Amino acid sequence: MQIKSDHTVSANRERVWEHLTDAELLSQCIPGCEELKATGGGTYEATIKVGVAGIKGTYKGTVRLENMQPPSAYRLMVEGKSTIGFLKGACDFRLEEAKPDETKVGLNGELAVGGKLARVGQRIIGSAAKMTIGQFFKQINKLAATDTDS
Amino acid sequence: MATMAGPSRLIGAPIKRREDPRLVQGLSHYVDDIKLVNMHHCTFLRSDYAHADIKSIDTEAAENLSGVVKVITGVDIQGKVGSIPCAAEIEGLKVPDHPALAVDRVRFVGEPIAAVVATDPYVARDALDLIEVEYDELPTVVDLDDAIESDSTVIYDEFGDNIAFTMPLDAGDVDAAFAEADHVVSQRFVNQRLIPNSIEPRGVLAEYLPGEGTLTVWSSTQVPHHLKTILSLLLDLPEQLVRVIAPEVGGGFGSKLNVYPEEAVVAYLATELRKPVKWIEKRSEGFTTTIHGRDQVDYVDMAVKNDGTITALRAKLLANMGAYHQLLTPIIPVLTYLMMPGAYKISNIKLELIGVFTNKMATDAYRGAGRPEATHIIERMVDLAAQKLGMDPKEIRFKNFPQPDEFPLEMATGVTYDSGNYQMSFNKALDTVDYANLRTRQAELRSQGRYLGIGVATYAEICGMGPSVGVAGGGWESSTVRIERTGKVTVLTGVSPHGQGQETSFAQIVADEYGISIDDIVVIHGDTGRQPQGIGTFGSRATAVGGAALIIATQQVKEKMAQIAAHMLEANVDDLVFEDGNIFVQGSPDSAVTFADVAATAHVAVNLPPDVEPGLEATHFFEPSNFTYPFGAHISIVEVDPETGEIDLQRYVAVDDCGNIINPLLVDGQVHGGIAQGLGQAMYEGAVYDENGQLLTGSFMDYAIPKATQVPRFETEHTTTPSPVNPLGVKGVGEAGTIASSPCLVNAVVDALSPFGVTDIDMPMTPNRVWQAIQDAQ
Amino acid sequence: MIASSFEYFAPTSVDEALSLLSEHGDDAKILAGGHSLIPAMKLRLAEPAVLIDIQRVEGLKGISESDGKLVIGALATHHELESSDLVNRTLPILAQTAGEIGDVQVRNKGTIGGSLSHADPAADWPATILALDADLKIVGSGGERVVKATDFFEELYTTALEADEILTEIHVSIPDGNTTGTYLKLHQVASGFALTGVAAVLSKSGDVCENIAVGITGVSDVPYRASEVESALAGRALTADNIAAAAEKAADGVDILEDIHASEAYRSNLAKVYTRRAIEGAAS
Ligand SMILES: Cc1cc2nc3c(=O)[nH]c(=O)nc-3n(C[C@H](O)[C@H](O)[C@H](O)COP(=O)(O)OP(=O)(O)OC[C@H]3O[C@@H](n4cnc5c(N)ncnc54)[C@H](O)[C@@H]3O)c2cc1C
Repeated sequence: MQIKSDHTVSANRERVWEHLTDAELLSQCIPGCEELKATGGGTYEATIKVGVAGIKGTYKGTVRLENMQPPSAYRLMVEGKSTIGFLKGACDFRLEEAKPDETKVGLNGELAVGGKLARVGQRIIGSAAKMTIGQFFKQINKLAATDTDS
Repeated sequence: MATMAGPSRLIGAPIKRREDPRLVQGLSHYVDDIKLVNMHHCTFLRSDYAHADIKSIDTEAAENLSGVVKVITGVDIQGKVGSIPCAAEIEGLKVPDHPALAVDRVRFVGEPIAAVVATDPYVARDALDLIEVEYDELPTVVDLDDAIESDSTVIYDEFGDNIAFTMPLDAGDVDAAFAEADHVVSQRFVNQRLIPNSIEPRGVLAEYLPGEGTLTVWSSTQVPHHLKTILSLLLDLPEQLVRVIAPEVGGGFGSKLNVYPEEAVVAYLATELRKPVKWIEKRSEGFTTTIHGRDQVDYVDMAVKNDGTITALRAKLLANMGAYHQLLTPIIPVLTYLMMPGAYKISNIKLELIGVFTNKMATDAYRGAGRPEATHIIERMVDLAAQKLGMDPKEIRFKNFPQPDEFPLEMATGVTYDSGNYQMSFNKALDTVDYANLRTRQAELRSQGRYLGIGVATYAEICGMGPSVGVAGGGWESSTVRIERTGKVTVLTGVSPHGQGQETSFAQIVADEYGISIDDIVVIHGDTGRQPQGIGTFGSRATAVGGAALIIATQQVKEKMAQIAAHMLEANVDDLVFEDGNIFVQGSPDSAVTFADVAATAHVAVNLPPDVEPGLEATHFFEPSNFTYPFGAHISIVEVDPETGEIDLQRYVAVDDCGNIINPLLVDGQVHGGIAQGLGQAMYEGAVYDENGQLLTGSFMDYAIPKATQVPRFETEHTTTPSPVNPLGVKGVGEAGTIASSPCLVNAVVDALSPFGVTDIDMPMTPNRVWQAIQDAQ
Repeated sequence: MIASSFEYFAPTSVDEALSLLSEHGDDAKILAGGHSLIPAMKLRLAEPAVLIDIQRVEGLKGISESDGKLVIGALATHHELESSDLVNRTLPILAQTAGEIGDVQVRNKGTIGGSLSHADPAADWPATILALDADLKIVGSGGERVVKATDFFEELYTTALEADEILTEIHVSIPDGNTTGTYLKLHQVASGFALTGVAAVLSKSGDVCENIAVGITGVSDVPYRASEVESALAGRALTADNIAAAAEKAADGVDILEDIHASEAYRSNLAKVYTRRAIEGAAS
């Protein structure tokens, strides 16, 4: 499944880059992130509770940042597994300075899901992914903007 | 010979099913209703990946869960449970090893990896979530066309490619016929993958008695006798000590004509633990791991003359085997191959059938098994040819039917059609719908911007599965008739009905022969301990083969009874009549002996004629000389809403010729169910896998089977052309409805949309597909 | 299909239910008709540790008329709404919507409150509730509040309801005799849910459309009011051409769903065709 979206964050590109790539800040922005532990080489072990409504699963897996080109681009790889299936994604993040203190982030990637998640959830996975990404950027926006203020 | 019976009262009568009272009252017993003392419960952990190496399996946490008795993986049963077998014999067929639990690699989503046994079913389920499997994902093979490309990922390294077998045919002079054709029509067809959904899922209960060494297995199966033999081989147990019981079976449609890993594993666990072990399939498991049906991509060309004569057919058939062969997997598309000419005389045929491995669940027999695919191809091609020639679909069919006096008719594919009168059934269908008027009405509506479609399908199919040369595992059937001391009759049959109604129809056959009440007859089936020999119910064979065995056994016992009665009456055997529970000399009903008295005499055995043994029992094995070839004509009328693609199915007329009819209610029931399933394929059903081999239609929320409110009233009619290959003159009707209805409905929708330039639509014809076809044609 | 184990409570009052909710927090789920929650639990997609079954809370039941409003208890079943004389007399579009939901068994057990709280993007009620400008009464530990239907549906399966709140009533103004409505739906054949469902409610004076509200479900992540359609038609004559032109805007500005049952293009087409037909139905 294709993931393609554009987001605007009210902060300058360096600050947004920092929020998108720093483990501590990331863990605050990833919806449902319960743990994010760096294991070196841009790889993190993660425990994330994701889902919609009552249909939430706890996924354990890895998050990896690759092709780092600060502050303009990188690739995010996610792999997670729960009792209801697995998900695996690769997404290119592209950061562009739109205005001073405003950054456009473009996402372009692929998400694959498997197991029961795919068997019974096909109609909502795309929407759920979109919603989760939306929440993520809402949080980034909030944090990045708060930082700017302070 | 004493074959005189009273007037036939029951054969041909619409007797209500004797099975139904217990079914509708919930008084019958399915596998899950059977509970044994100390019974344990089994669940299976299944692969979430379509293709992956198993790096490790950690079962420790599951084993430590309170109530868990045992957890096994593929490694634990290596050498103890044999490879799940395939009975197909095809030249050059590649047969992969099929372990009951995957050992180091998984090849489809749902493949069993581990089994848990616990003291209660909830614990057994909870334990599954505690098993940790680490996989190394491999590239998947999901698309049929791609799978046979040379650069495709190969599922079995040892085979070198994904081609399980190829089967060519070159009959007549196809190249010349195409060279001389006035027109050639070509089309690619996708016969989509279907998921059988019998109302009762699969289930197995096994009990092993170590002292006696006996293994008893209750399984929701269509083939208890095959299962008995195969389980004894898989577990290395003496076959005489294995008994398989198919209790009430809630439907199968071919999906239970198989031997599954779960059957072997549960039986193994029962022997190992010395405790009864039960597994009941969950519906969501069934979607991924009970065999699927159909799944072909067919490339077809047809050569026609201007007058509508079909001169040649050429096709490449790609048939999806899935990841492993189940019992008959490769055989199913062979039936497509054999039936390619359908109801038409086509002497030049060139075929290439290719069986293809993919990372999906195995396909196998599903109602119609290979013939719906053949019928779809030929019936669509005939319509396409008619469209090209500007000919009415009716005319082109009459033009190419064989004449009734040409039967038995040898076809270019090597089969010989037993009997037929295709003109008769088609004419009856055309008259029923008033075809000429319908076409006028269609033209009127079109001028008002309304799109009525008339779909026609005239089919011939192959069933009555026998003789043995054509049926893996044996094409015969066995029936036993025993008259008890009280004069009650026990019928034991090797067929294994699971909805077909043979407890009723077989009793009708016997009641007529003996001139006794149907209430005095009990038909017993589905238990290898009671009827030691048999094959099972599939391929519309139960009456044509099992019924034939039964009538002969019935007559054998009758002959003996007549000898005893003649002795009692001091009469001549040839003068006796069996009527109303009495046996008497024709014309002298007043000095009769009762049927029950004769039975008692046979058992008491003090007043028997010389050389007559005590008892009244006979077993007969019947193997037909040929298959049977039912045929018929279906017509459907639809109206399509071009704005939304919705299809309104307004009328459905089926004229089927299944030879002689024992019970018209049962026949109509089979036709109704069959059409509903064909309609399901035409309009609603389709398994969807994504590019990674994940099944996306894993529940009834996404996989649509037709519901009662979604099927129209069916109008059923019959013509009767007896089959010469069995003594009852019957052919079989279990699958005809499915075989004819999907092309009939597609033809109707394409006919409705022909003003838009639509020439074909893939199934299922969802509103989205229909709407898209209109957009694409414009 | 065996659910994970859970604790079960059956309170008999709203207060009791609320205190259970605040006690168990995120682990708890309200159980109404169970026709969305239980299937998810059986598949272990949802594994709530605590179920608070509100079916014995009398205060959440019933359908009545008060102050020119229809007051629908959250526990009113689809069947009750379909068959109620009061509903059929005052707001027949509600009965019509109920009749389109699932099958008899689903309608006998499923509740309007459960459906709205669950907020399935293809559920039927949201379309009609939006078109009728309903008010949703919600209580929580912090007290009672009223949320307008147009503010209730926030995201996919996400509503204005907080985790510790319960939807108690749905209030709908009973319109005058000039107002008519129609709900039309194309069923996704497998699930029965809406591939597209359109509720059109309008009032007219002569041929002219005075007010119009169109609620659409099944087309996007969140059910929505087709405001472009409404503004294109309000104050204009209800001619076939005007209706058709307005209906063309049915999917304007929304993110359209795509799944194995319907492509984006097809859903967009359905939204337009069904909107046109629903308005024509309401106008006729
Ligand atoms: C086979 C099938 C077909 C269906 N077809 C359709 C259809 O065509 N159209 C359609 O619209 N729906 C359909 N449904 C869904 C059905 O209408 C459900 O009944 C409805 O979505 C949920 O209502 P419920 O009372 O069953 O809620 P439940 O399943 O009990 O609960 C659903 C969710 O809402 C929460 N909840 C319930 N009540 C409240 C409340 N008062 N306050 C706060 N939270 C609450 C629960 O905690 C849960 O998260 C179908 C369901 C099935 C099983």
